[in-house]
Amino acid sequence: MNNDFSRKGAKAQRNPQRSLALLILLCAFLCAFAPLRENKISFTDITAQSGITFKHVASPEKKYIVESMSGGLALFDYDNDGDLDIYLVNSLTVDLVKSKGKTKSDLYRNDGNGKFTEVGVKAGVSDIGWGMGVAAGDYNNDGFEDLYVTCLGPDHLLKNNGNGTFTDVTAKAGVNDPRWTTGASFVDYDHDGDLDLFVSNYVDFDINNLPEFGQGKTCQYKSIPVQCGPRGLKGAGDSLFRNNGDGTFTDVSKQAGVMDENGYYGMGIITSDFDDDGFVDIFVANDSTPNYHYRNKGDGTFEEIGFTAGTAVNENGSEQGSMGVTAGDYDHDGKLDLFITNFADEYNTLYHNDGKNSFTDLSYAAKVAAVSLPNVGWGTKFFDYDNDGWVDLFVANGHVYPQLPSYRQPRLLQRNNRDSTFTEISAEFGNVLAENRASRGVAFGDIDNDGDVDLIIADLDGPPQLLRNDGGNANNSIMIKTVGVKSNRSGIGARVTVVAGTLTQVDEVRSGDSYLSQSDMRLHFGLEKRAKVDTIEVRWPSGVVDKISGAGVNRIITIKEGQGKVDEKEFIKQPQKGT
Amino acid sequence: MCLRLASILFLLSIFLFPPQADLFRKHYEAANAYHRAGNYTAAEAEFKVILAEAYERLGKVYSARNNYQASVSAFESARAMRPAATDGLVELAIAYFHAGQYAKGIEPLQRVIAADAKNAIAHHMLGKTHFMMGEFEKASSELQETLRLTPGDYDAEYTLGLCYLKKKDLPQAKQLYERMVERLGNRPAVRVLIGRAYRETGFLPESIEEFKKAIELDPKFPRVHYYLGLTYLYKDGAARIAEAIEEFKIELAANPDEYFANFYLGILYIMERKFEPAIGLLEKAASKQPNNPDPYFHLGQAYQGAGRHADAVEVLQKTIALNPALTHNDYQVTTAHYRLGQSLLKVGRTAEGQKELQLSADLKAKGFKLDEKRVGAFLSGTPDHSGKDLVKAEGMIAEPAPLDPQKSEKLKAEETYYTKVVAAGHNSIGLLRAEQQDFREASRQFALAAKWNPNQEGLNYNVGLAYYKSESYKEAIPALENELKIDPSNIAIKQLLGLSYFMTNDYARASTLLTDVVAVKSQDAALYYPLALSLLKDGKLEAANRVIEQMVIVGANTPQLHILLSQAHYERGEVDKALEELRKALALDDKVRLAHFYTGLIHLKAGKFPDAAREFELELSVNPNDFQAKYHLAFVVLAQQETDRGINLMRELVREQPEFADARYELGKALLQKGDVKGSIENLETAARLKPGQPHIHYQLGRAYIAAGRKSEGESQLEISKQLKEKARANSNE
Repeated sequence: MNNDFSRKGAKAQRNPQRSLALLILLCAFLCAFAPLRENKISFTDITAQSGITFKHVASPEKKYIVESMSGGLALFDYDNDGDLDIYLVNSLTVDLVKSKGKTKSDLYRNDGNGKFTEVGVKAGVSDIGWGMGVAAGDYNNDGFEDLYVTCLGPDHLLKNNGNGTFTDVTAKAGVNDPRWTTGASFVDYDHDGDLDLFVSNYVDFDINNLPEFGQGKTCQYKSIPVQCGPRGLKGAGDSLFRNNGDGTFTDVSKQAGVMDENGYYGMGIITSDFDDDGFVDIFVANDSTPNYHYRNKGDGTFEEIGFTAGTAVNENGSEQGSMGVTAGDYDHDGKLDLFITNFADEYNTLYHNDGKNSFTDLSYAAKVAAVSLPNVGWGTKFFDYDNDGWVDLFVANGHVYPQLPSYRQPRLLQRNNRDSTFTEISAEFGNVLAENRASRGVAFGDIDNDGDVDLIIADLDGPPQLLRNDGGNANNSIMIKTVGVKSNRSGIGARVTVVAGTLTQVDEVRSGDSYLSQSDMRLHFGLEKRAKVDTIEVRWPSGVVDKISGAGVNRIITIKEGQGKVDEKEFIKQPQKGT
Repeated sequence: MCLRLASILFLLSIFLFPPQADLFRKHYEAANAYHRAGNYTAAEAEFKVILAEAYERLGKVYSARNNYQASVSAFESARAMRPAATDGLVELAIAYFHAGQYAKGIEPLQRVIAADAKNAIAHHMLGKTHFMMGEFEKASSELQETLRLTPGDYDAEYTLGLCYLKKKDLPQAKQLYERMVERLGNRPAVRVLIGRAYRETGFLPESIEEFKKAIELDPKFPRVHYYLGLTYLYKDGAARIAEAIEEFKIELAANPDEYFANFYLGILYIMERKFEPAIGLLEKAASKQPNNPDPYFHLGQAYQGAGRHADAVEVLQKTIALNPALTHNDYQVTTAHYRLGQSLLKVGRTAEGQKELQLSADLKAKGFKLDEKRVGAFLSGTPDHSGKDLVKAEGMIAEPAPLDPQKSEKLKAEETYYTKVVAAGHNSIGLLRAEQQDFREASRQFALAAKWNPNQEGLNYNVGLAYYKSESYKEAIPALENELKIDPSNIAIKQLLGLSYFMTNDYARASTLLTDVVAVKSQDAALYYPLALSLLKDGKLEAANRVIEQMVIVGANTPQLHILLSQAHYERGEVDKALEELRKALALDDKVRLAHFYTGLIHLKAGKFPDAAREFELELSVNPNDFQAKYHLAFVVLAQQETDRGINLMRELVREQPEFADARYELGKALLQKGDVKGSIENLETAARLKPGQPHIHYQLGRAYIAAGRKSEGESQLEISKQLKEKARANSNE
């Protein structure tokens, strides 16, 4: 190599003009192939090579509203081997139901190295009927994450047996909600150390009494005949099941004040201690009706404060077609804000948490509104794709009416500008985000444990997309896994604050969010180039507080209630990733 | 007592008013002749001809004033006067149409067509009626027939085009509209009309094309740019706001005072978050239509966007005041309260703001239920008036154009004249009926006369007397009271009114009036009984005793006297003597009213339930409509644990008198016993509403709520009961 160079160099010295010309030519050659903008991060669609062959079933015409609304999925570690497995919920069609057909939901075991193996049938989680969404949580505190799958008709509480299989214990546990259930969330609302369950219901739908496609005002969209509803259809209330601690639950919806007597159209759920009073609150995104914001009074009951808190409707006072929901501290003021995805011609709403149960719709000020108007938004999350310590926003889109040319829609990735505004940048990632799809649920998590957040997006009409984040881990980060002792084993409800120099971030462990989906329960915090974490504080639902100081970066830290750090594993260094 | 005949003279005087005077005179004279000959039926028929004509004229007056509910009523009354005739049926159907009562218009029009198949107006109206009911095939058929009969009827042709579009038959509609253009000329007005037809039936690209053609013909044609802009928005929503804004700007430049141009451009600027220009435009729109809540609603939003919350509060309060009803526009009402709440919070009026926010939440829930019902009815097959959208094409309220003042005066004069004719006509029929002793019908006719002309001389007396004679005492009272105000010393009126009060258990008033009457007519024995009983019931024992003594002198031994004596004994605690007097009353007349009832009451108070039940049943056998006897019988039956029978009796009572609190209470209690918790709650809630100060009602209601699983509500009612009892105890201790 050096010899060659010397020979070239010698030649150049003998003919400087020719060398210059060559240099110019070389530069031109290189510059022609240089990217117009430097983008070190990409998302790679690894679905096919990962071994995921799942296809979501849906009727092409979607003549009935129930055929447009499925698409939840979960990233969770069912076998406790330290990596995230995937559960994909499948649905049916009206024709299939009438012909007594079946579909299969699927569980994929993460084998490492980007490969997954289908184990749904063996695990006993495939035959669930007309599935909608899923939430994970260790309801019996045996150390294994269980699943609650929501359906049109009977739901399913799938108890993880710890040996790779699940048992449907719905009837025995008393947690069946036979209505059209959509969102679900395991939450310890009474802080007694076990996980209770909150579910939202959508429409009082009777498959034997279907509204006629295209007939009437609520079955037309801009004069095009479409499926009917939801407006005009009878809504269904919500349910809260209190865990009795013995494998059974009691329906406490009415006495807790969360029954939804109005019958609003419940969709996505998120649980969070919005007012930071130590009691977890519940937020329900309702489609075409005002949202519910239930403040936990700490005595086993809730007070609905949506209108007075400013989260029931948008700044104009209008209820919106709300579907997905996420919470995160986007402006680093220590309070968890809310973001909700909505229907077309209705902007996605960003509610800034002003504290003391007061929120302000800052969607336009934050520049997340206008860009969302043409789309129907579903799965969403505040997640730090580039590990710079500021959570960004992702939205999966797709219309409900296949009759429209705009049925399939692109995704939105909105980068946090660190000044309380966002910039839409999905075009920078090429087709993988810009491609038009009928997306629904999205789950986020580090599937390869390399320190950046990947995602899996459900597609209503076909296979999901498993997108591996490549390059996000160029910045540092840390992941926190919580293990409750006095609190529920999953640590759901734990509030984690990470301080690294001037950067303070806060998040909570949750079951169920986005659109009817479950993301990785390990909390991810980007740290940019910071080389150490000053403190990690975990406030458990029990009230216990654990504090760890001087943690390293680029690792998964397991914190056990009352014991502090009990384990840490460095991120896996991935080989050079090609496209 | 005689009915007043002064009205006949009055009737004569009004015949001097043209133009119907000759017709009315002719029929009046005929009626008079028949009356003199004793032919009441024929006389009444003549008056009915007058009434039919007068009602029809009234109907036309109301229609001209756009008061269609009133015109429907008038035309229906005209029809009732001549049920076999087809005159006026088309006008009736038109009134139904404009009043939104489409289904009712079908039968009259079909009758007209059955009598005259070539009646193009009837076919046209029937076509439009079917259209409004969403029956487009039938509508098409009628409108095609209309055009066959009257080829130049462009209104029918236009509506037929709408039918085709509603049936999604675009080629037929296009063909028809092109023919219209050929005949009427390729003018912007025609293009706009066709464009609106396409727009309202969902053919938006075709609509845009038509509006553009209109613009090519005349870029300044009023409203065409506004229609085009609106259609852009209908079709493509937010994606075409910029284009829509351009169109509205052109419209505004050409017609700066046009309400809709200002209004819609203002809204679009709000959507673009350009609040200052929006404010200017919406303020102008509000000045153009100051009683329209819509511009204030959006102006409130613009003020909020501009941070002018004090101004927002003012206009949002105005929009709410102008538009309180959910059924009008539930989104606007509920959202206005929300926005008002937000602005109140911003200006520091926290308590008011929170109240508005909570109100908004409650109203949104109510609005949601309304929506569910409305659309649910549609989806389950109950047809919506789907043509209604075409009537409100702009989607917003517009104030109706005021009537020409001269025309308005003329209509007012006509209304005054014809209402007098109607009143006089009914009064005359009332007199005929009264002469035939048909007091029930006479009272109905007099009541109608009073409705149309309350100031007609002598009418109150006629009404009162007729009701009294037909035993409708409650209805007699208002008329007699009015008459007494005019002539306070009239003994005849006092007597009628006093007796009516007595028969409706208003003993205090009865005793006051009858005392005056008896003072003048001291030899009329029949007056003493109601006076004495009224005094007794009113607690005036001494006065009652004096009257009884007088009654003995004047009237001697009558059953009523013994009933009175029994009351007097009972008040003094002499139960056996009271019972003895009642036996004497029955011995004189076993059908005398109230004797058995009072006997029953005495037994009831003594706890002798079977005897009480028997007496109440005997009372009902002579006096089947006695409500109190029925109630007490039901009470005793329940007390004897014959629950099913008792429930049935109480149900009959509440059907007759839904506001009878005691019956509601007893029924509620019995239903709770039977396990019908829902029925129990319904009745007990009504009882509590009617008599909120009764602790026993709240107590039962509390028990019912608890039985229904509504624990906290139940406990609340029990607490109310407890507090009422304590209050009553405290009052009695004082």
